Amino acid sequence: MSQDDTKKPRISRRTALKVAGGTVGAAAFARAMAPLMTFADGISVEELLQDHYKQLSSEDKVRIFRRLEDETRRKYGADVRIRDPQPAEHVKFGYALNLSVCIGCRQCAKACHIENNHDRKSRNAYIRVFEKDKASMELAQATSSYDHPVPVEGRRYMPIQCHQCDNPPCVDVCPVKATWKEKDGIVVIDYNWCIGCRYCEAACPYHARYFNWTEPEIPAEEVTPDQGYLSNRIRPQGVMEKCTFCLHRTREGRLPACLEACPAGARVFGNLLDPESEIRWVIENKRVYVLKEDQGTEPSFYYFFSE
Amino acid sequence: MESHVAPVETTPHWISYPRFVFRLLVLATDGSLLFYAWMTLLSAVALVGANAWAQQVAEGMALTHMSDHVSWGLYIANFTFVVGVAAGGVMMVIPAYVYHDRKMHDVVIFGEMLSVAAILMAQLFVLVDLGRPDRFWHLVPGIGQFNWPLSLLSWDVLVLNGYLVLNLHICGYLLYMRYLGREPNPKWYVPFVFLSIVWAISIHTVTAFLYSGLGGRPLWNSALLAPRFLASAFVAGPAFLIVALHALGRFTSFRVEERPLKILLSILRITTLLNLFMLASELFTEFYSGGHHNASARYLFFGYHGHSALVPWIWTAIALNVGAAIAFFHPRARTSARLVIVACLATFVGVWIEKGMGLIVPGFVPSPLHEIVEYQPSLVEWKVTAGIWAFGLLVYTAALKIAVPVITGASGKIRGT
Amino acid sequence: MNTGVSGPDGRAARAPCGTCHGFVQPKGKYATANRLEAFHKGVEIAHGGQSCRTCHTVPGFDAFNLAGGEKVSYDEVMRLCGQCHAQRLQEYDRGAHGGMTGYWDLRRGPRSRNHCLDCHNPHAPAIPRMTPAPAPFYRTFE
Repeated sequence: MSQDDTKKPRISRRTALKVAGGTVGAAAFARAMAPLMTFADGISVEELLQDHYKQLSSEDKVRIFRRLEDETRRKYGADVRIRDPQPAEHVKFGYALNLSVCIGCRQCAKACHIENNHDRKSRNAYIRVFEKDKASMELAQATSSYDHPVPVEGRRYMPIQCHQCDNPPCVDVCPVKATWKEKDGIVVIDYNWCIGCRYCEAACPYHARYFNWTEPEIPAEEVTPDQGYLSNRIRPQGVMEKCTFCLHRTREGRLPACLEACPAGARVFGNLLDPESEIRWVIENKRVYVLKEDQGTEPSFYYFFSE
Repeated sequence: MESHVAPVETTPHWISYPRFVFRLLVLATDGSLLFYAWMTLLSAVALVGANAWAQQVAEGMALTHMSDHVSWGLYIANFTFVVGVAAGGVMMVIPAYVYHDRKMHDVVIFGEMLSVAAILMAQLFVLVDLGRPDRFWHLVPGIGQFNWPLSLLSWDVLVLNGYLVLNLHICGYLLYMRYLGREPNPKWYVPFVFLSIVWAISIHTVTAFLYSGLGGRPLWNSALLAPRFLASAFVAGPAFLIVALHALGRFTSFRVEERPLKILLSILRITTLLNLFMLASELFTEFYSGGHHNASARYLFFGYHGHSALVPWIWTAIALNVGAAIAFFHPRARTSARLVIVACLATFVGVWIEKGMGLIVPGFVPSPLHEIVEYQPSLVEWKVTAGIWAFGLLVYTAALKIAVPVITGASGKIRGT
Repeated sequence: MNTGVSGPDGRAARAPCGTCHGFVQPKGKYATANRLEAFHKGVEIAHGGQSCRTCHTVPGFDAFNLAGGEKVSYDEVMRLCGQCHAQRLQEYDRGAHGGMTGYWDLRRGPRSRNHCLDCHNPHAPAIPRMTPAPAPFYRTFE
């Protein structure tokens, strides 16, 4: 480091090089992070600062739903209506599936794919159908990738979707409380609060939670326009999603899409708290069991046999 | 060493502290050509990683090879490993402070700086794994919705940040005192040092509980997971420190004494054996009775239904760890620094594989519904991971660059006079 | 005799021979569809080894006979099915068979149910095989 005799301060070569190097480094860093700008463009400030669903007032919700509907029109070219049906009093949903009758046609999965506005390329749905031998109830001997005409003699078919557990492991592990169990039993996700850490996906014993690895792509004419804020609206990239028992339908008293699609009539849905309901009759009178009972998740989804 | 000088004593802290930070910056960027070459290389790799991550955020995590079946991969694997390194970094604190070994005091700061660098890396690994990093503010207690105490991730946020602050305080205080030419006041750092010993154990226990609490994942749902994590952390940390100390001796004027190296080696002798013993215990429990609960273990060690991508990895890791353990006990380990360094590197890599490919990935194969989808990281994931490692090494190198003058007593250099 | 189906209590349902054979000739002209002169000449019966007259009034085919001899019109054919498939009919009545569209909450809206014959061909009632919708997509990188 050289020093002048005069009082004028001098910047050493080393310092000048350091500053130059630092500037180049900062510029390179900005350049490297450039793709973030495309991401940032897609998010409004309002969306960035949006509060948790449970903290929203009704005015907030109206504003947010309008914004989401506009976004959907812009991005997908589809006109949709986003509602927020509330859980009814004295309702707790239950769902049962008749293993003696299911033929494994996957029409339920297809209906789910369409109703819930899933990304078309991924062919995703919240229901996975397993084919296994009649002799074993063990999933390790089952396959979900069968591709032959169904039903096959000697085999049983078992669709698996979110069981809306009464003791859900996914709700416990979420670090930001983005998922919770509603009064009527449905476990929901606030898609605008989820940070995408996928801890819930690791925690679920039923593979019922899915992640949006990309921005969903759906042709405008295939978008289901009747949407729920917590259920089947088109989810953004980077957040979790799951079966909600079609709450945009069921909270209005209608049947879920998978049940209506089943050609074999293997599905039964209703209010567990209503003693006259079909689902109560099934649980009280048929040979019923639940998956992975030893996990202590207490599912609201039951499997039963006719015989 | 300079004694108290009047002008320094009367300068208030809010003036001298920023000067101290500036001095640190100058020290951290002053070095030989080799130093600049090393730092430039690391910066370049870090930039490649940053760019890859920006792409991933923009285009979605489909750029990684994770899937709904294997939903955590290279990022969380590395996160788990570096939290272990951060915990293991304070290994030297125990002999120094608990056993009052004065000679160890000097090198304790290297361990704490390792912890700082490792915790920063851990936080970056979590950040790059988030689907919506723009929403990280949701995690901040008071502003977001912090699910404490139910969610283990919330515990992790608390303990990791607390540990970072703790170590920054200890290192910062000791360095600042040296800068001022004052003797450090034990009241301001000794309690924190003891706290950091306990806290180090807690950070890795919480990270282990993240996994072992999930009933749906039989490979992880084991009481032995937290002890295994700690054992392997106390292998990886000291192994890295031994290599770092030798590197310091090779590339700087710092001369590392025999005693800290001896102590670290004796620690390694115990912890590598403990690590291997726990592995054996796990193997026995998984395989003795059979059944479907060991499907993931079978996939990892022997292959499952024709899928065996991880089998070469885990056996390599075991070979490396066993080889290193043998080397540590060999009589030549007392005299040959080269043997020890090679063994340390081997076991560092072995533990990295064991915690990453050997724990995180097989936990997802087969899936809870027994579907088998395998995983190998994509190029984007490798780039981001390399970038974060480069950043960590950058931080650690800069930290050593600052700490060495302190240790060698060239505090005149620190104060810029 | 064993009817081959189980009753609502899960045990095999047995029926006395006279339930069906009190009023109908056990064999006869309408054992198979081969002897039909007009309509449905090609009907194959794959329904538990039964003959035309098990269900249809013969001759005439204008109604169905229940086991006790009672005649029911085509509109009430579900009662006929329910004689042997009583458990299925019970499940159907309680909403656990046959599917539905509409509302689960009948206070808020209607529901539309299927008739047995909407899904089952009475002469060969087993649901034919169908090609399933495509399997879900798995990310693999082999």
